[in-house]
Amino acid sequence: MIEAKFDPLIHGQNRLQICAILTLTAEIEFKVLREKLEVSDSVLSKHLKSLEEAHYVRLSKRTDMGRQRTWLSLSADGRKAYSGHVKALQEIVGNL
Amino acid sequence: MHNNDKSISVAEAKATLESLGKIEKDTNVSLRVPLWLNFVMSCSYGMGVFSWASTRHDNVWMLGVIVSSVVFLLAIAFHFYSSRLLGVKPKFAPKSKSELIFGLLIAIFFAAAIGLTRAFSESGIWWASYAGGAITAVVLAYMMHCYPSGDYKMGTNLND
Repeated sequence: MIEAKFDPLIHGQNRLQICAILTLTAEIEFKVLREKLEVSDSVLSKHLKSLEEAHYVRLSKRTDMGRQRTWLSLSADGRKAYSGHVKALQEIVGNL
Repeated sequence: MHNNDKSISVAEAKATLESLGKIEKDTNVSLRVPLWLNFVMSCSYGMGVFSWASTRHDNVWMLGVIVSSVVFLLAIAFHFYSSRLLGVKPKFAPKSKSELIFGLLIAIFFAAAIGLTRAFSESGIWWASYAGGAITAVVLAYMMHCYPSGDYKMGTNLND
């Protein structure tokens, strides 16, 4: 059972959206995420840095098919934090 | 038991959930297998089920099983490869409890469908293999189209 827990770290719109997208994939490339969120490189990097420091997101830079790519994935802690935060929001709205 | 820092209003929480729902929906749409590839995968799977149900010691339907399996596996490999080129790696293994449960239910359904199709076909019901092949193909196509992320629950509809 997921525990509802409001997490101020991921509450910002972009950060929640980052977690929402990463929940649905195993990994996603930095550029693809940037395009989905429609933000600049610097804005996305800033959010990812905060999430990475909290061990919610993992960044992996590797050479794939001849070019350097940055892959992002949500950690188990990140999934738990996101799920708990969404549940907390649902409790606020009164869905639960 | 929960720990809430309710520093946001109901309206804000609602708006946040709605925006999350929208982005999840959009992401799911982008994760979908292309329709043509979905068709190839489903048909090859259905053909494999049909061929397996029709296989007897004195016919060549086992060749159909082999060919269908090869086509199906190649289609899956193509999907993963092309997704990777596009910058998205689909999930291969479940990452949450709901995904695991969903995966197990689907696996049980398909195992039962395949087993029952062959059993009915062997017992003399001539249309069993056709029905089994068609049902498994349609269900697989539906699952791949509607649940591309491998979870029946969206994050904004959690109740894990």
